[in-house]
Amino acid sequence: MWGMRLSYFFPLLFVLITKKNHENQTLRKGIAIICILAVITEIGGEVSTNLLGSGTPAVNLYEIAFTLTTLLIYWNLFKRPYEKRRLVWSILLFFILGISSLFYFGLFRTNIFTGIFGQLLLMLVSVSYLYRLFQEASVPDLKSYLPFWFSAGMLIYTAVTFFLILFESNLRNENGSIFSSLWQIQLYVSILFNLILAKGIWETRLRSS
Amino acid sequence: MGNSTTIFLTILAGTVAMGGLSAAILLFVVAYKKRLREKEDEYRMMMLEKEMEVLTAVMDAQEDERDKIARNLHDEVGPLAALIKIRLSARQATDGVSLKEEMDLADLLSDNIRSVSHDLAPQLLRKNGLSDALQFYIKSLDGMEVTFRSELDDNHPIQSGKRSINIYRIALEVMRNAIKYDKITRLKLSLSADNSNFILRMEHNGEGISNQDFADLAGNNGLGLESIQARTILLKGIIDYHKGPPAKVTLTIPVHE
Repeated sequence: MWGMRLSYFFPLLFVLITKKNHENQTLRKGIAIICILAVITEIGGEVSTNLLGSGTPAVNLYEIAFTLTTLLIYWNLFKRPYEKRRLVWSILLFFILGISSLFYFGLFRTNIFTGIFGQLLLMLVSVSYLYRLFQEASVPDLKSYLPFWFSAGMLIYTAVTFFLILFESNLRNENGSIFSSLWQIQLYVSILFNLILAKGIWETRLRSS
Repeated sequence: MGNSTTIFLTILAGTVAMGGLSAAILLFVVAYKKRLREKEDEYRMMMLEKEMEVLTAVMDAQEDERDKIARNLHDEVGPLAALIKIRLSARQATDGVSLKEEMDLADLLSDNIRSVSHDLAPQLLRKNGLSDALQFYIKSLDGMEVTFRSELDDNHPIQSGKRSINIYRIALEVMRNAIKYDKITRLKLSLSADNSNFILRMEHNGEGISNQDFADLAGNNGLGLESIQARTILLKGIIDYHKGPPAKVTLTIPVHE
């Protein structure tokens, strides 16, 4: 658990280090927001557990904030008008359904809807972005292209999380130990995601020639 | 199956899934690199085609301009030289003075106009084809031991058209360079073709140049060599230089475009 919490600071650290020498400042800031959101959720989860007896409200709100922030980042990354239009619709749809589901599930029940729909949406968007990248083939070196690192990390993270959430409710009821070990996988994939983001920011920094 | 085994298997499955996704990303990178190379090749081909289009346009414009100048020389300046000779001849008859020197000069002027006009737009090439035009040129070289051999029949596709003009110009440029810089006295020229390639071979008793010399000189404002290079590219051919003596130059181009 602490490993995952610590891992959020890797991308944040590199975001700070590359403050003035990074070519993609918007994405750099977007990644910083995602990490800050995660840190706030961790703190909020602890506070909520101590005061209200459950960290679920923080997680439920985080799911919505994380998905919307990531969709906004992709809105900035996609350049074609029709792609931007699709993202605007996705953001609006997710926002409306996300808020509605909060009323339906309540803050203290795990909001499976935002989990599944959000991860699925992000998975589709990151795959679309990678596909577009592949089709255009205009980036000479993927290693020095932050959107590639971001999308690759996002795809791994959302794909694993999506399947975990999909089986979460069944496993929780049937076998508690498998459920907790699945949660371990979620921790590992979060660490992997943060490491990919950190590596991406570091690899794509501007180097003085 | 015990609980710990189940946990172990679950974590293993998760790790395999993450590994699989990471491997998929790596595969993506490999496929992307391949695609990038393909795109670069496509771009290079496109640029090459554009370059060829520009080169063709430049060469066509050059040929048109040559034609125009040759026509003007032949139709306007040529008759003037003839008129001068007629006038001189008439004056010689009426005045009884000898104007032989002036008349010889008028003859020389007339010959030069015809020669320049032919050089600019070889009518023989248009009428009789490449073999005859080159044979005519090579036989007009004074004080030179020349051998000419052509295996091309009159209907061979290389004998006429734009490509024949380019081959003719290349051959003339190579011969002129050899005459000018190597002071050659012997020249052999042969034209041959099989089903796929047309080959022009030239051999002379000068020192000539190597392929490296050609590349260096053509890139260094050697206008004549630059023209040879451009025309060879247009013909999608290969020109091969061998230093001598005897120096050899071989131009190979595909028979069919």
